[in-house]
Amino acid sequence: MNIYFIGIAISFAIYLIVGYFVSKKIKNADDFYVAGRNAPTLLIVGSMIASYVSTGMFMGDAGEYYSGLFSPMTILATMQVVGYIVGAVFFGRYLRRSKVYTIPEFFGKRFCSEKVRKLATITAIITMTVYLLSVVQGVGTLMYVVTGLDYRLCVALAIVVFSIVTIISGAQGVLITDTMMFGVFTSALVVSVFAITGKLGGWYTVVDQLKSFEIKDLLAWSGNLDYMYPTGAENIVWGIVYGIVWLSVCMVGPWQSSRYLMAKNEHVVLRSSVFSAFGIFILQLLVGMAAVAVNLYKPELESASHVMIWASMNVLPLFLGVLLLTGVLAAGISSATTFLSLVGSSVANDICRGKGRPIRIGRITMLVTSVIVLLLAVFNPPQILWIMYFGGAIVASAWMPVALASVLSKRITKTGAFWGMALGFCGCFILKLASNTFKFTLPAILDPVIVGIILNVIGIVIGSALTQVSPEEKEVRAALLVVPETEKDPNEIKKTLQYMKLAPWLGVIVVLILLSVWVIPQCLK
Amino acid sequence: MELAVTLFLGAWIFIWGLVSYKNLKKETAEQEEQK
Repeated sequence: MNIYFIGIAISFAIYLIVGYFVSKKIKNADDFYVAGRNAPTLLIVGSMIASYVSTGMFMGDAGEYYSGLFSPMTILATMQVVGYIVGAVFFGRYLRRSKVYTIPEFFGKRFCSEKVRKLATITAIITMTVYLLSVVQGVGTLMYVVTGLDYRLCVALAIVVFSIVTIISGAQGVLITDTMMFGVFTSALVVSVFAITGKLGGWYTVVDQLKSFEIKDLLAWSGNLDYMYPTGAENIVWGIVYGIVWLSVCMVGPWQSSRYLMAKNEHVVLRSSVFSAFGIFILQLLVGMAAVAVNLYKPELESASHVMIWASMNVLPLFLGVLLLTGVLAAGISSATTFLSLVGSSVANDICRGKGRPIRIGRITMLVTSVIVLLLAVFNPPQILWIMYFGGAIVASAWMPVALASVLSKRITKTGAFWGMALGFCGCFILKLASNTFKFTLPAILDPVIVGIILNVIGIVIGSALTQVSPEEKEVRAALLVVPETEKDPNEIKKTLQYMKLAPWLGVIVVLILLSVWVIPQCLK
Repeated sequence: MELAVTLFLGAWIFIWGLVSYKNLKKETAEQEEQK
């Protein structure tokens, strides 16, 4: 038993203890599925960031930064954070206002259509199960690499821990453990970046040394041209396309926007969006800086996605290495608890509604899902980044245009929403599956997600043009636009506007940060 | 080019942040008028 295993075991024990104590407070379905709709800004920000940050970022994204996609990944990571702000203003607060348990329920209610609700449920369950699989494989790989235990045992151990926490404590427990884990991986990452770059003489020295490094253009705007696309323009287009994809995920992805259902009020929704946007930008940048610097220690890692694990075990002092690995693991587990609780919630509230006790159905669903994911993870080779991007792509294509139109458009009908969602989902899913099965690469601009989003909009336009908005749909939308009396406290409104005033200034802050850590050191000879 | 990329990203966040803020401000002003 090595020190890393002890660190992991201690963190698992803490999550289980917290889950147990939180479970004592669960009294009804509201507590279990939406944390009593009473969460403050800190818990919403913590859970939003922890659900976003998973092994996908610490392993998948870190591998891309390490391999030479610093510039395209920075574009992706920075463009996406807008999704939090726009999503909260144009979708999240209306979602909170509708007082539903799940986002498919919101779609069903908004369009007065069971068909739309069922389709949204199917896409949500597929996406979250797929994403959960990616996270479990990431966690299993991490534990296997650092402990030397059998991969299958590692996967099983991780699944048992996060399933118990989620099944007993529901959304309430997920919010609290997510926020704890957010604290663990954020502090571990910040200190680790200083330690990794500090040993090389600091970040500016790293940038200087990378300019004359054997692998060209690791920090150049074009990215490493021997890695993904052969031209800088294509790499940039890839960054922009996936920036839009992940912007959509941050905006309407079930594991992100569902956090708003738990917020105490709409002010919390809006305020948390600004903090989440800034937090994600910083964390992605730090992961990128750490991963790219590892090139100077070890230029040819066998598996690029293991870059942070390698740095933890070979560069960082022992205590810090254990802390970072525990942090990466926390990032994976926190996302897994969110996905699992959402699958349970979708089945209990959207598929088996009125067919029994909702908490019990949710718990049984979570148990069954855990077993299915365990089998899939054990019998499939880990493909963390691919599966993660697949999940994100489906949400962006199937949900984003319909979600925005459900609030902003007077003319969208239930038929338009259904066909938009169906075409977006099928277009992206089929093209993505085909390109991976038959191993062909589409030009970045024709990525399956872009095709899916375009098909979604076409479906909405044609479906809505051929049908009329029903009086019920008009009524529901009108009611959705009415601000509840409880949200009209002048002091709270003033405070929220002050927070939101920071949103455009984030653009200026981002420029200043990127100038100081990337542009200026990279351009200085 | 790195500078161009950075300015593009800053402008991207600034514009969408401003759109979101203005939208909220407009809505708040409308609520005040209704009172």
